[in-house]
Amino acid sequence: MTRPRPALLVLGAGALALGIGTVGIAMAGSGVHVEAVGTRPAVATGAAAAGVVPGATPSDATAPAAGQDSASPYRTLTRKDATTLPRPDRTPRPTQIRIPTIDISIAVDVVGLDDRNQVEVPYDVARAGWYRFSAKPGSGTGSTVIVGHVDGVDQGAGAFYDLRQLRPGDTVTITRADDRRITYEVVARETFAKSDVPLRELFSRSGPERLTLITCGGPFDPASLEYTDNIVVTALPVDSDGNLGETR
Amino acid sequence: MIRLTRGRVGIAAAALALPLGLAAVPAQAAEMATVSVLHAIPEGAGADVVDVFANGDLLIDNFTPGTLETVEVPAGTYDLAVFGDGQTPDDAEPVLAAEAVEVPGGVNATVTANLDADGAPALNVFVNDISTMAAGEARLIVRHIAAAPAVDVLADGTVIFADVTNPNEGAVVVPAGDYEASVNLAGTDTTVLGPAPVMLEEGTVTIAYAWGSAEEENLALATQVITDLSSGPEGVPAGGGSTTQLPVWAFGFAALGALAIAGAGARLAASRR
Repeated sequence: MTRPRPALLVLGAGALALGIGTVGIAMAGSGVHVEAVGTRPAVATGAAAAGVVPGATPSDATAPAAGQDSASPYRTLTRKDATTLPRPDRTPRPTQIRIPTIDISIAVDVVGLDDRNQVEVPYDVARAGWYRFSAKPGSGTGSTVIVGHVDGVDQGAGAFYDLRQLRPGDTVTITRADDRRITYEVVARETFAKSDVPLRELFSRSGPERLTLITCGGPFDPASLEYTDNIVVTALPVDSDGNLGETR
Repeated sequence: MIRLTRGRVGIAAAALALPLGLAAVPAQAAEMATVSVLHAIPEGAGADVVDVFANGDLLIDNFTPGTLETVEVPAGTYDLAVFGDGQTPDDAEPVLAAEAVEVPGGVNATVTANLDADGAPALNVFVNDISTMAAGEARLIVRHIAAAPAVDVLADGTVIFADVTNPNEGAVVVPAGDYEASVNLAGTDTTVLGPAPVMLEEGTVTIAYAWGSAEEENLALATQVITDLSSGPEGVPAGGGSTTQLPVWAFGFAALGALAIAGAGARLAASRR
């Protein structure tokens, strides 16, 4: 893949042109997509989800306790054995991502946070990064977040340059350290202005098991040296019969 | 007011100070509260199967030691009462009771039925800190609700809470990850619980309860986990700009843009590592 590298002169010109473009996006209103294809499953975060205790079965959460009649002002959320401790999670991490429709088959590193508490994206633009505080693929719950560069400062196009071309129905396959492969189907591709990205939802380890791919998009702002938008692709696991994962 | 009935009722200091003063209660949850109840009276102490009532209505049925039940209740003032299995407020006296417990809207609290330091049954009310944490962090709360003397709580061999007594607690925010947890008699190297590997997951509150009785040699740990309290990372900077396509009309600004070259170029150079 070769991509154009603009001369510095053009980059300088863009500083003014793109400044104007950025104002236009901001006026579109906060929380609104710049662009969206498909639908991402809703995820409750914060107080609404705070009472949920892992380890309880769904029936525990809905059925009133025996003898607790329907007129009871109290609603049982969960009931669990508290004597088991939360043990270290030995689920293998993702090591590779393959997206045939855009010709991606690359290594996945483990990434954390940088000194600004932003996700550390692998410096090598040919590699993707699994955010280590997100869910592991196959864990059954929550968002597995994999990030990759759209391009580098001086490395040309990055691994996720073509993420913008993904459509609902496209397939993504993750390979884990135990060689297990998990296949996902894209359900949404969204573009958000960076100030409007619903980061808490996208990174939540609650809600349906899902894969969240994130890169940059929109115009490049040479003043901040950043793209103005994030492109977010959401995919749900597909079982062996080709059925999409449950979207609670 | 909390009043003593048959068993002794203790209230953690934090429980009295916090409910009315909680500032960060989400508006949409103002009328409901989340209350968990932990049965932490060991088997054989006369409370093997109990029913818990709140304001005369059954709250929890057939509750057994080591079980944690979480319920959603309307905000309000509650009289809590624990009865032997099958008994009701109409025909019996409670084993334990706490009157006029304030439960403000949006609060997340845990009521423990446990032994006090001397081994008598007690009810304690703790308010759970469910404020959000920065990405990468986890909150650990440790509560002493055992018939046992003062203890030190250690993580990876380092004391993180010293001299904790029944019914008190310690809370700390730490980097999320795996730790070796243990409990020592205060000021000694005598380990009474653990060491045990424990995962403190990012964005969760892990509440560890030391319960049981030292004398009966049934000290144990129980845990309550409250999830999804990470505020998430601050962003995803995933582009450097080397493939930027500029619109044709942007070239009209080329002359003016030349002024910006020096600045942008300098920043580019600075960001190259």
